[in-house]
Amino acid sequence: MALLSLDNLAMYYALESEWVKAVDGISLSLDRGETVGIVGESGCGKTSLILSILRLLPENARFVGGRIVFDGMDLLKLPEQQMRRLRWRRISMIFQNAMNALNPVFRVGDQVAEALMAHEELSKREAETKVSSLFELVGLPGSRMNNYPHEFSGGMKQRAIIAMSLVCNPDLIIADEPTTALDVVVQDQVLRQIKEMQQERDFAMIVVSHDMSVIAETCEKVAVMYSGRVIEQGNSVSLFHDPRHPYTMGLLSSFPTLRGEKKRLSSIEGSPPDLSSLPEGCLFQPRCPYAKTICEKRPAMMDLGGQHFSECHFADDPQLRKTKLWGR
Amino acid sequence: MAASKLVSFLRTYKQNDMAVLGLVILGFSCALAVLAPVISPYDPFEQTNKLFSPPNLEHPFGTDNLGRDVLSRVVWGTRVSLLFGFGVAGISLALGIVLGAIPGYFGGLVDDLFSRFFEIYLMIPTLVLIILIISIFGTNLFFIMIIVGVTLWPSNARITRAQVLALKSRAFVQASVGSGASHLRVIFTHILPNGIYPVIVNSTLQMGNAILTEASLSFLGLGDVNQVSWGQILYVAQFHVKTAWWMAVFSGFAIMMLVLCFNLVGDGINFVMNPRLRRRTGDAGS
Amino acid sequence: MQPRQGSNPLIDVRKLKKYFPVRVTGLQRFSLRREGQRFVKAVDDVSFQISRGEIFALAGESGCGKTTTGKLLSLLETPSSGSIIYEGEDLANMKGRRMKHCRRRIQMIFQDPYESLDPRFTVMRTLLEPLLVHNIGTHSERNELVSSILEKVGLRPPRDFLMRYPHELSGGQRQRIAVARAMILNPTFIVADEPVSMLDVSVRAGILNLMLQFREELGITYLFITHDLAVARYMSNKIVIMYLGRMVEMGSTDEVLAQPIHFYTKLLMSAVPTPDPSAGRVRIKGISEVADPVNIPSGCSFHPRCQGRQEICAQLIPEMVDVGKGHLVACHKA
Repeated sequence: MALLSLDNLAMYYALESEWVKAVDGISLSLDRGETVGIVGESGCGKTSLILSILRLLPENARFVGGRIVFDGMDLLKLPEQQMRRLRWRRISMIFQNAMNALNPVFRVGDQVAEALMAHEELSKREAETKVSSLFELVGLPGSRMNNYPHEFSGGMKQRAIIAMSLVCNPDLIIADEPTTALDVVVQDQVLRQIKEMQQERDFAMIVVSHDMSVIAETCEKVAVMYSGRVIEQGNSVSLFHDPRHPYTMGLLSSFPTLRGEKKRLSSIEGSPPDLSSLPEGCLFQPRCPYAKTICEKRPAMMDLGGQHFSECHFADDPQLRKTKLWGR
Repeated sequence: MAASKLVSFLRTYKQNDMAVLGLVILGFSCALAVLAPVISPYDPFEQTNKLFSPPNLEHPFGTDNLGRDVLSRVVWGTRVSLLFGFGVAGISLALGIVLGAIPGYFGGLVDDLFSRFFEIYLMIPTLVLIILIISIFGTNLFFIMIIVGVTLWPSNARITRAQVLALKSRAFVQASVGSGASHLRVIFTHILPNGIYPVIVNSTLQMGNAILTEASLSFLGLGDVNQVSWGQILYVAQFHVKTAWWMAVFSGFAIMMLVLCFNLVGDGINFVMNPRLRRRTGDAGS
Repeated sequence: MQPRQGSNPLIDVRKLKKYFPVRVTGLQRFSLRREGQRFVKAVDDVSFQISRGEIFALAGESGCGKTTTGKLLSLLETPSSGSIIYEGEDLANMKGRRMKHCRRRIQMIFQDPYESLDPRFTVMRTLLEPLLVHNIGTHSERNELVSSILEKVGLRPPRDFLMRYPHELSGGQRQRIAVARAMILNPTFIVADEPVSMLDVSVRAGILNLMLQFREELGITYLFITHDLAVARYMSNKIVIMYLGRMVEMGSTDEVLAQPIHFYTKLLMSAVPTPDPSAGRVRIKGISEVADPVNIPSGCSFHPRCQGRQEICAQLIPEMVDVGKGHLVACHKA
């Protein structure tokens, strides 16, 4: 059984006279120890999606449909008290720009210990021992526990945040742009560290990022989000080598690479639709170079075999794959 | 352009009920001040022989120790209060902006010198200074207004300096400098318009403060006797509080309302400028 | 020593330095035992030349001095020492009218597409400003110029954008306005400081290609500052890698990225992830993190992290040496 499964989840924000459909029918599943990447650009709803899983949404958020099943439990039906027990103990999160979330007037070690003691019955001494071994695990020298955040570099702060997310040994960690604010060398080290810890502790991960290279190297499964929906998902090898949606193809040919052939980059003209007034047909149609009349009807999620799904009328059309949609 | 900005400003402003109340009171006061000659039933200086008459149909606010109609005096007093309030705040604003923008923008030695100047200036006990100068030079209203304005500018300067410091390193300011814009242009077209709102809020509070100061000065007998001001009314009223309560009550109430309304308007402006104070509509996903 | 490039370079930077004094606060000011003023050596002896029509990349991690170098070249900061020769004059000591004239020819594009536009100005007003500052044209001529530059940066039709405010535009559109503003004075040289790093991935190509288009059509020369080597590879023909204020490697982009010599360049390159799940990546073990810019290691500033370090590396700052084909490296082992 999957550790986490989202089943046609829909969550909208209630604004004065309209709905903002941030999560509009998303289905995903994640097994123990697996890493799933969610790729998407700003405004696609990926942050809303992960906040939905943890039910950390603002007041005007409404779950409109679907289920979130975690280890057999329907999270949407759980009373808040029980949800609170789940949070951090079984599902924890690394927030975007988390390194700025460290309180500058408290020592780093104390802050991590505080996270631990908030969830488990431990004395300060016991907590400190645990924190010390966690520090080693994330690659921080134990001696730095008594430092203040300003004495830590960016990479060290991020590692401290990662340690904080591990204190209760969760089954699932959700990482929202975990390395975006870091330099490339530190990013590499931190990602490697996370992978090592994952092997040791066997937790599942959801990595949200706009950086497809990071996703490619860390995730076994990938879901591409666009305007509140997952328009393509599959295991990362097949998604990167054989994309079956024009948007995915567009993304893949829009950024330069350091190795490999140099090609002319293409950008996707226009902007994503307003989440409060989504079109009737395919969400990507206005910007899609392959759009045809049938695209005025919403495409269904097509099963392409091998756990690869795409929401495009032409997902299994060999013509789509042969056409060079983007770039010259 | 500017008109549409005003419209959208007002639209947000009216979401805050208290702020609207403040604006209404202010509008009412301005109307009173302008229409004083027309509205007030009697000449405020006209002395009758009906001394200390309590509020009645002929004199709704009663009469004072010289038989003057208190209602007319309160209405006419609005002029002085508003004039004083705007005048003082205006002087303080102008001085504060200039003396704050210069050190903030140029930094270095200029900043050090100005900061020392502020600190020394702030050590001066302002009320004592005002009283001293008035005692020596006289009690003309305009003179008092200038003096008070000149004692109040440091808070505006402090705020302006902080705002300018914060803004001058922002990219759009650097971009303007990079295009070749002169210091003056950069300060007046980019920095000040973006940084001025806290200063404006502070100024509205200072207006209230100014009115209280004028009332205090008059109350101490240092006001301009040629003018009708609420403080003047209070000055006389203090000796007759038990017997002629209407003199103190109505003028005191007027002072309170005007100061309150300036505070509310200041809050209202802050409310518009600070989106965080308004109700959050939630993150529309990202 | 650097070989002189063929024809007259457009920009000739010589031994450029920018040191920021570390602020001493409070009582330290009066300390009798002053150890001498400490400095953050943001830019420490940087020399390079940019030829006309070139896109010259300045690459490195945060804190390496690339942004400060960009600000020095776009006259937003003044150097502590050294010179920047542009059209025969030294920009470093320029003042007044000469400087204003140079500002017409040298422009900057900033990293943050929201921050670089005055939130209270409409697009029209933002683009008018450079024209007003330099008193260019009549009222109607200026309006013409604004409309035509909007067309050129791909914001069509211009009248749809003139009255909009920055918060009504997307990141990509804002950055196009930033490019338009830089271009409206017909500059010869543009300093672009991480122009796409804050934009969505699918939008970046549009801005990058726009910049390339201006180079092709109008011969604009760029100093392209970036931390992203892949973008540097796409855009530039020459590159210099910086570390803690100093240059470590320089040469043609293809050459440097194909055959990196300095250990730092190798480390940087090996850390860049590949967007291919099945590709392996040879990683070089990086030792610890970037040093504190106030306490730069002695000798070669990279030596504590370098696998190939020798004794001399801690003692002597290496000079840039030519290892052939204009490829320069600052390493004792080269």
